Amino acid sequence: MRVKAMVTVAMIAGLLACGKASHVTPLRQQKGVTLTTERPAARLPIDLAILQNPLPILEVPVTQVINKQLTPFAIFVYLAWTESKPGSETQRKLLIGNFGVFPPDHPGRYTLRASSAFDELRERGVNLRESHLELLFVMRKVRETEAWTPIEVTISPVRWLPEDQPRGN
Amino acid sequence: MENLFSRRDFLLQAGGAASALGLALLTGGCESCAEQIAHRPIRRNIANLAANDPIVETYKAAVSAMKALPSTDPRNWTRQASIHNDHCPHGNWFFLPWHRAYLLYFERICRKLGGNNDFALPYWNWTAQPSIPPHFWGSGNPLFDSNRFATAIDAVPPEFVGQPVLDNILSEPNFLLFASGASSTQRGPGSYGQLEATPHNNVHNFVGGDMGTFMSPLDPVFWCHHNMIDCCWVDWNLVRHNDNTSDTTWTNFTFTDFVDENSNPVSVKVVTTLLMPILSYQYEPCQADEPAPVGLSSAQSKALQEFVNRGAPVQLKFTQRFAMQKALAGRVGRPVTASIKVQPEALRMALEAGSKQQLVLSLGGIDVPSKPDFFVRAFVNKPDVSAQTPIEDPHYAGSFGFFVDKAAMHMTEAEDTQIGVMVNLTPALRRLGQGGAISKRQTVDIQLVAVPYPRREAKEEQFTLQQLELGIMPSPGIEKQ
Repeated sequence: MRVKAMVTVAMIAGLLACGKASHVTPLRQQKGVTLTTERPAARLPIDLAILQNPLPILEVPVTQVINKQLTPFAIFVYLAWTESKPGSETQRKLLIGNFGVFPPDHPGRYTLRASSAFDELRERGVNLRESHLELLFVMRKVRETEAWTPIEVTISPVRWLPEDQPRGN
Repeated sequence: MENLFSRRDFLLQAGGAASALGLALLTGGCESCAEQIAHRPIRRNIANLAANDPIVETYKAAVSAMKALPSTDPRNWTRQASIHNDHCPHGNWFFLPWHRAYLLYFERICRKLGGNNDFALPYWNWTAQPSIPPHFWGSGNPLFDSNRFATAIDAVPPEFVGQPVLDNILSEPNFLLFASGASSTQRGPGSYGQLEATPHNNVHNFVGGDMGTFMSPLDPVFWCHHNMIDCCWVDWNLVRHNDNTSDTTWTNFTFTDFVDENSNPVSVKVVTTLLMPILSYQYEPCQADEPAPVGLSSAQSKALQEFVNRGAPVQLKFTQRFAMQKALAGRVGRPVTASIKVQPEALRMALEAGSKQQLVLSLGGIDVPSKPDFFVRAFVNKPDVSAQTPIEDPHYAGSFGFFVDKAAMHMTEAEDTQIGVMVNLTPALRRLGQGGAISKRQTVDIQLVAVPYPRREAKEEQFTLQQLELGIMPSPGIEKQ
């Protein structure tokens, strides 16, 4: 069959998608955390309302960074829970993602895909509503050989977002 | 027979910024574009380049030359870094396109000041080679920055750049999560996507020194680091077929911060940056499962086609048309002539209307040759034309090539393809029309000449077409629907 495609010659490329609307409301956790070089890890219980039907994207607002020496650091974010077996309790964690702060004293809003971690938890048979899930934030050095200098990072209450809303405000 | 222009009123689907370039190609503004695109420079992994490779030597020479320029020259090394310091978007969706354009113009400056037209900026693949490559070390080396905190043996931790991390990021389907979140202004608040937040930010901080600040382009490794980021975006788009956002706040945004190789300020729309890796450069694969570049890949052709199909439709509004329905066949070394009957008065009025009217030749039903090793030049009223007739000849009107990828169009090799092209005859007719030479004639003769591409053999190749039409339309004659 002869194809009469009226193809315009040597045209242009682009990769534009149609946006999908979503009407799911973002959920904000009640509390934030502060990380320091003395206390580089902090936990934040995940509200039960969020665990009823976890939204896929976690937004972490880093609202203040005190880091006069500009020592590079990264924040690792985990889902953490306690695995209880008769006679023992084990602390478990599953990485959601990590981010660096560049330049290392600039605040910013970071988005991470949390749905993969939730999916893996379900595959492991973890009951999201009964396992006292927490968010675990851990501040780590980027260059392992470098000494810590005083750093204080303020993370405001995180938000859980639907698929189409990792936006600025 | 069906009027050529009435077929969907010759609806030309072209995306916003793309339409200008598309028309330039269609109307003969760039006769060797297809050739140039297929052979666009390859940005290579610096790990695959010897210390004395011409690419590395050119990069060194260019950096030295930029450092030697006076601070009044916008191509000066510190001035270039200041562009980043003063204008770079971070933590929002302008991050990727802004840095893509920044790199492209920097690359052109390097090409000129390094004296090597084949130069393409190499990239640092920190996944495969997590230490700063040896090319960037050694006192006296223009690519060395003594302010770095990282040493030559330090390695970026795999938590930031390891293959599983990259695989995870590149499999993220959501543009805003992959590429950073929405903002209405260039440096407005948005959100850091995973490509920016993890490998991008952490490599900056890992290297440290200048790289840990917004003056980071002072370190020559900056450009190769961002080249890797750009390569990841290309992979995400063109290899993994993920879509960018169609939000016009993003696509229509214009950056005005760059200068070209001649120190001229340039402005670039975001949508134009999407074309850069398809039209201006390509990458040696930066991901393990990526195919090596060979001309224009079918994925890139498909992307090209999709862009055209998705772009804002525009319509050509012709006020008068003169058609000629006659099959023509031309081959290399044998020009073909078509005489289109016209109304001399209408032609005269259009030519005397200055820039308010345009005359466009439309060629329809052109069979794409199986081996398109040639392109076609169009001349007006030039009976003695040949493949050697220079394009400076006043009768020259424009040219077109054959740029069709059957695989991308879901066609088999056995299927025939027909295309339609347009050539803007206005400049040639105006040149020839001085003294009334054109408006006294009852016909406009069009000569079509097949010209082989350089270093190609196209002795037996031929092309055929079914229809020609000369249309008159008001300038610019393109209306958005």
